[in-house]
Amino acid sequence: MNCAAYNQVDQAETDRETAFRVNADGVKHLALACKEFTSSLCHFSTDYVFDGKSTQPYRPHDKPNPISIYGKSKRAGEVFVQSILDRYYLIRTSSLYGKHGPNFVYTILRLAKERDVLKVVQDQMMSPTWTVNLAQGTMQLIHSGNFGVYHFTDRTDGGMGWFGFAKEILKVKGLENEIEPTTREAFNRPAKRPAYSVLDTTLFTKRSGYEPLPWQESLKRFMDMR
Amino acid sequence: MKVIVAGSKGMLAQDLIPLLNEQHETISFDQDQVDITDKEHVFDFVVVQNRTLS
Repeated sequence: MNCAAYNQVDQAETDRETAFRVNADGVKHLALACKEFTSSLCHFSTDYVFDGKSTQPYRPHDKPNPISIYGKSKRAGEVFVQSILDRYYLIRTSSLYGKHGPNFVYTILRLAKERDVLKVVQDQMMSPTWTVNLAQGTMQLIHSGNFGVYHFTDRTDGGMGWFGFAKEILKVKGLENEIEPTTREAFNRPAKRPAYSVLDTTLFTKRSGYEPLPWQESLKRFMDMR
Repeated sequence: MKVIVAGSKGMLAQDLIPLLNEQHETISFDQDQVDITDKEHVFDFVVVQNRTLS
């Protein structure tokens, strides 16, 4: 199971070599080892392999067209998995947060302590995903034996913006910071992000039996655990 | 199943490994033990673990 990745999206723009070494070559080596030892590979990828021009949730076999170095490096890793192996689970997920690493929820909670007013991007549609849900779904998928390409996120019914996600984080915590929506353009980060990267999880549910948890419920459970 | 997990110190792996441990023989590593960008290193590790696991 490959949970290793270079996932600093902005830094990848100026560190293409490391991003590709880990996300493409690293994945190739794991896939080759799986082939050599007649094993299957479960690999995680990202919504950032898509360009965001779609207006409906991306399905697993929609055409990737990454618009950032990070996205390109992750797509290169996917291509290695798919060309080297027959037996693989390739699971694309999106906007991950969890207890054991830096993530958007922690960032918002930190900023809420430091600033009265928070500005958060709204013109980027996605579905947040709690690591615990992805872990449970992945367990069910690998026990099903149904190899293939899948999409997994928490349930958002068509996606949401980061602004809406941030607002809910503050609400669950009972924080009263002011929050303003902003745009990707105003935020001006080094890497381009897809405007729309909502993933269609239907196939994952069909083949694994796992029903994604609504995003509000996931967030609440995550915050209760902290 | 016998499972090897790469990236054991990452955010996802730390929620996934406990679930794998409940049902599978699981070995995990992070970059301080195995550098996945080094093919020989990956293969050497799997050879050794394959003996341990079976």
